[in-house]
Amino acid sequence: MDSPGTKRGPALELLSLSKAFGPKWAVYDLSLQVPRGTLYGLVGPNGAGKTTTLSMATGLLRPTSGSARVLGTDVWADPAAAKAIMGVAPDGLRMFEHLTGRELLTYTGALRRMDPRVVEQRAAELLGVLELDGDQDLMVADYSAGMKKKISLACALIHAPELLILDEPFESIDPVSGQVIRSILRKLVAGGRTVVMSSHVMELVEGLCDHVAVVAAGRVLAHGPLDDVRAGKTMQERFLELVGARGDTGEGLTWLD
Amino acid sequence: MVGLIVRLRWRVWSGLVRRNTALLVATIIGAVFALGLTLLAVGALVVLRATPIELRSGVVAAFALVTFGWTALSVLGGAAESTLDPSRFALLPVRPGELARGLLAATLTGVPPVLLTVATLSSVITWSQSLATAVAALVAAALGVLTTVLLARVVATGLGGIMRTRAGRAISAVAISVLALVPAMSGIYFGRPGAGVELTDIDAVRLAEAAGWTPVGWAWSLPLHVALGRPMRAVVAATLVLVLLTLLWWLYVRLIGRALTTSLTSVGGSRVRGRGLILRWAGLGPVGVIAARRLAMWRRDSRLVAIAVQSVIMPGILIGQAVVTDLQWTALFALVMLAVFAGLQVLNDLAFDGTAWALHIVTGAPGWQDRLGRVAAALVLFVPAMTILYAVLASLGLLTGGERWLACVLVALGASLGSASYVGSLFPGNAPPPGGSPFASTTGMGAEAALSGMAAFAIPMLVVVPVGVATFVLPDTGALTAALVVAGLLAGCSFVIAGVVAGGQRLDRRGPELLEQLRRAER
Repeated sequence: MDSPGTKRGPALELLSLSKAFGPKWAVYDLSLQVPRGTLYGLVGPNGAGKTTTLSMATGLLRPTSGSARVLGTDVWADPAAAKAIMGVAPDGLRMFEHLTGRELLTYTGALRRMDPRVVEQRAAELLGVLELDGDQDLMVADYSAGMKKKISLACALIHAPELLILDEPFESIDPVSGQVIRSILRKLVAGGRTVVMSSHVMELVEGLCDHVAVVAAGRVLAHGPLDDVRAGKTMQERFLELVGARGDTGEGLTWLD
Repeated sequence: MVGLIVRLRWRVWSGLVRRNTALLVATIIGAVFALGLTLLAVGALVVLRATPIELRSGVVAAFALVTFGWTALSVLGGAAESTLDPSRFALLPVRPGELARGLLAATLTGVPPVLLTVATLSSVITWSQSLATAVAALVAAALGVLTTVLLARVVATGLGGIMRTRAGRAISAVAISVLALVPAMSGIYFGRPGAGVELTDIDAVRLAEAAGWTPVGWAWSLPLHVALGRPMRAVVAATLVLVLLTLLWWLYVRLIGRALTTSLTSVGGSRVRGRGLILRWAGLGPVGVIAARRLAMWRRDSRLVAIAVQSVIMPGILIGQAVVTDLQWTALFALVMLAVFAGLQVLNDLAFDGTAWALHIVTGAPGWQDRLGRVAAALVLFVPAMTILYAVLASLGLLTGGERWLACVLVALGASLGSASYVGSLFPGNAPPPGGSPFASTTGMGAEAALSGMAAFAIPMLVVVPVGVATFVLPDTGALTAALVVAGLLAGCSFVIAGVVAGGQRLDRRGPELLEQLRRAER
């Protein structure tokens, strides 16, 4: 077993994670290892269990069974220690919308007991890089969907986490901001940190991630380095093959001709 | 089109009920209660047939009051077409006029309008002394029901439009809350000892005439005018009603037309100038920023305006009562009430945060800091408020032995904050969705919310009783008074500490489960 201080072992380790909502298993017996220093993509169709998996890995949703370890620390046995070393940008949850962007960053930093001077400096830099500095005194309630995604990412980054977990970080993001976020994520990985992100856009994952796991119906269908999973095909082709795509696209809609 | 919308309304409603048993139970209880009221009204209306016109004409004022109250309740209930929101039709090629007819018909098939129609039709019996009055009553019933329903729709929808903006919501919340004070205060005024208002003193005909001059009474006054042999007045009233209905219909179609083209809630574009509390208190750590955020919310979140206003109104009523009736204990009770209100705002705090609270879980902020931050915010706001109230009461000469009562107030404040801090960690409570009407309540979690509200209200009240008894029983010496106040302060602090610790532990243990509850409430 690794202690948080050791340099070996995976950044994120999911061991037989399962989650049942009533009689339905959203995630079933899911195991996954995310090596350190990788940009790991979690892909899957809608309803595959990506958000449920990431919620269980980040301490937001208690698993029915199984465990999650962040750099050797059990998320559910020692949540405080695990949460201190990871940054999370969840999807589908609200934000404190009555705060301004700058206040939300300050708030997050203070919750993490950071030095306010460090928070202020980092917040200014993050807002600048993410092009939110013009709207830093605007309430988050009045932010566009893309701006909300960006401020959520900034909140996850404020304490320079070893592991960054992002749920659909590129949704509603315009191409210019998307490029900025890509370079931030690459920079993090180049510095030895680990990023795990979910997406259902194959081109995005293919162009950005070095490792990938394909999830469908709450199970892992394939995982490993991108090239191993792709097996000589495009990610899109491989994904459709793994998930089992339907061939009858657009047939029968003759009245649209 | 009309039939389609009526069917849609009921299908939407049955879908809502199927997902939410509490709503079904509440609806059934409400319907049974309303049915009972209606049967009572029908009985009274039949009995009134045989009474002299001085009593019988009271029907006009009663129905005018119903029409007025219907609008007031629609606004308070946030009922700006909640089952069928016209803006949901925005993507469909439908004209405002068509949609308005359909929505009005759908509204008329609801339980309350049907029961209202039954009651108004019974008034035909009340006025059946001659064919002419009976026919007038029938016309009045039709026009009256239409006026009632349309007026409520137009005012509620119109206000709903104003409530799209943050400032509009805040202003209407204040206005509505102050309006809600009027009946309570007039009740206190007329109910005061020696007011001497007797039933026999009321001249129903004069009351009916007065009501008949108001827009809400025009329709209902028709049979009275006919019964009193004033056909011209009846014609004038009927004309006025028709003009009113035309105007309301025109407004209704306009409002629906606007809802069809502006379905998105407006963006306020509100900038915050200067360094707010959050930035200034960041150095105080989690407790500091949580308290700062909570305090900033009072100014920025219009949903809280209603709570703030109610916190002022309740003691206001009690002080008013003390001044009018000269019952001093009600003024002292106002202080205790304000203390209890301080706790109630901590109680529903998690619901007001909603799933945004996930940030506290993700950052691993300890539960006790979450609780303490919220309690601190309540103290920052309510301690000065209570001090001001104390000074006001003292200047009005309503505080005899006020220093001793301080013990009760301190215990009440501590117990209310402590119990709310703990109970609020058991159940997240209830709150309107962000950006929603301050008076709209979320359905679901009904029984749970009622229970937790009762607990947070009852615990401080129960705890205050022994202290209150001690205040009365102990001899009035300076030393004993001082001891009582110190004991009250210590007890109050102990309650707060216990509530913060126990509530914090509960959050640490069950945080994800609470978040799941909040998530379900937002769906």
